Amino acid sequence: MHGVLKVKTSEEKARELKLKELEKIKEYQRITTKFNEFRSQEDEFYEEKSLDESKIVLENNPEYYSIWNYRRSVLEYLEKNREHDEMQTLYKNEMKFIEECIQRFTKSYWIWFHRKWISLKLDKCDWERELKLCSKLLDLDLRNFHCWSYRRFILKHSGIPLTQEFDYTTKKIEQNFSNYSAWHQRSSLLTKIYTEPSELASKLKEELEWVRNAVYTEPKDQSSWVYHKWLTGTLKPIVATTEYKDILKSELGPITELMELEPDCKWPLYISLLLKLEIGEYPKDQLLQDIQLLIKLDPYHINYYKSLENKI
Amino acid sequence: MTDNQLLKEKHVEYIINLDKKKEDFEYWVTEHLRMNGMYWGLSALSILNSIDKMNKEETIEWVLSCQQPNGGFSGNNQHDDHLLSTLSAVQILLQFDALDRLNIDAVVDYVVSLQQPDGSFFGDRWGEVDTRFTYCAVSILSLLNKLDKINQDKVVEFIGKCRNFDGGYGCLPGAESHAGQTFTCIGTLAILHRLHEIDIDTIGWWLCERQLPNGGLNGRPEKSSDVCYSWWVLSSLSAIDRLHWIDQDKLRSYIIDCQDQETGGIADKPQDLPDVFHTFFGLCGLSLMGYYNLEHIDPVYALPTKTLRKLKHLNLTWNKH
Repeated sequence: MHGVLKVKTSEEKARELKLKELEKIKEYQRITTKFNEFRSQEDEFYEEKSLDESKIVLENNPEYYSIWNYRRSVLEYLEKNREHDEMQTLYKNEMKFIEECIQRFTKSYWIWFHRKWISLKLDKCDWERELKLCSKLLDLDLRNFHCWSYRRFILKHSGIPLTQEFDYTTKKIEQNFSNYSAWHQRSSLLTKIYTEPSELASKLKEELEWVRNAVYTEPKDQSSWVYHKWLTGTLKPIVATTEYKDILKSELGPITELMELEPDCKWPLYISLLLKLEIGEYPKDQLLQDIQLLIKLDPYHINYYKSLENKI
Repeated sequence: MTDNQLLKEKHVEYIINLDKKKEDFEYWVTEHLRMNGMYWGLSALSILNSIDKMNKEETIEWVLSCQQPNGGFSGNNQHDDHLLSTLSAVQILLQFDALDRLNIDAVVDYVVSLQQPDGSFFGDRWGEVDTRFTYCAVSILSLLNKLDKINQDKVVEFIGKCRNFDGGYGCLPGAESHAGQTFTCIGTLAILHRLHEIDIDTIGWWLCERQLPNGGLNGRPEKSSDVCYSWWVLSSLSAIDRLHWIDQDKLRSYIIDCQDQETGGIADKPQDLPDVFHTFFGLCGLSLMGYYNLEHIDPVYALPTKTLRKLKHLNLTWNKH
């Protein structure tokens, strides 16, 4: 059970709640028993009614995975016995039903999988509309990874250009620099859009400029720093060594300035230390001093920072 | 709570009473999860050295009754087979030393049938792919000494595709890193003796950054802490020998604060209601860190080390206990 607060109540209130709980159980059992009876009688000769009867159980408990399986079995069976157009109507209805469920239960693996399965049965899935549904859900919970995952599924099957999704990540990040899911999506899109190393390198350099605004605005937020770390790491094998070091040096300037503005923040100090270690031209005492300061700012991770001493 | 006391007896009580919670709605809507729940409860008792408190024969009978004609196990009677419940079934039988009563060939055929050409695994015949299922498949086959039945190189290749910009791993290629999925991927690579495929500095750093000022761990950046990550994050760090990269005393205090003083059991967060899932993973975290003289749990198989030591074919290179 996630995030269910334990509340202290009076005895009377507790009795009242218990009665309500028992009522709820009774109703749930009535629903499941009714469905199981129905199911035991149909002997795998399914009809549309099978879809109707199973709906109510899922509306009460979307985690009941065997019933999602059951619905797919019914549809597979009907597919052998029904006209194509009839089936398309059933699939469209199923999409509607899932949409209702998904808005109430946004984090159920089973529902999201069922939607993927049905969407591929449609002659023509309205992928733009699917993307909009995701955007709506991500406006409510920007980190819902099921939803982000479904977006990638849409991109794979729809032919919607990846650049459109890239622009979406720009919008989401500009709305909230802490949207780590959007930073992640952006990183995975970049290497797919720019497959030519030289193109990728120039885009990554542009990104270094772009991420600067985020680290300056939210220096305590790790999302943009992780992205920054990835940008420089990805550039390393695709540009010449001298250019690589020049890029790192030009990054070091603004990050050092930020350290002065935010002396209590570990992130600019940590990232600048990594840059210095990569460049490799800095005196040992200075680097050891940086490590000591990091330990002072962030004592929980003392052993990690100490491990960096071996890299000097 | 300041004295950091672990309420061992209360936790044992809490777990053995779980099957009596029939007046809770939660009990009924989680019926399909009973096989996982049984594994969490039983393994928590193992950690507390109290496995004898469970009705062994009755449990074995029930587990065996959930094996389906295709060889897989369902989450409960009258539910469908799935790799998630199949792994739990094998883990339960192993802890009761009852693998000889299992139709092993049927289980192996079931697992093998779910591997795909790209190395990934379906969770069941319906085709959902997730690195959680890869872990389940690889763990089952390894416990049953049948890893040679699948294409292991392809498994490793698929896991490699799920690696992200931060060094962590997600459910699928392209999916955001999550501590739970990172555990399943590192665990898979460990079982297949391919830990050298991991960029330990990058993932180790990402994992240790999951610790928050309250001592607890989160599963993704900019999220709140939750006791279950005392397992997913900690086990991953332990498998790559980087447990010391977090502040263990702070994490211990966090887990202890999540105990329910009245009923026993551990919750996801301080003040929340406890459940068997968080009770097990909280105890796992404490066990991995070596507190309270608990039975040691293996960070890769999520089973007591002493149980695994009986399986002579296993080589637990990451486990010094």
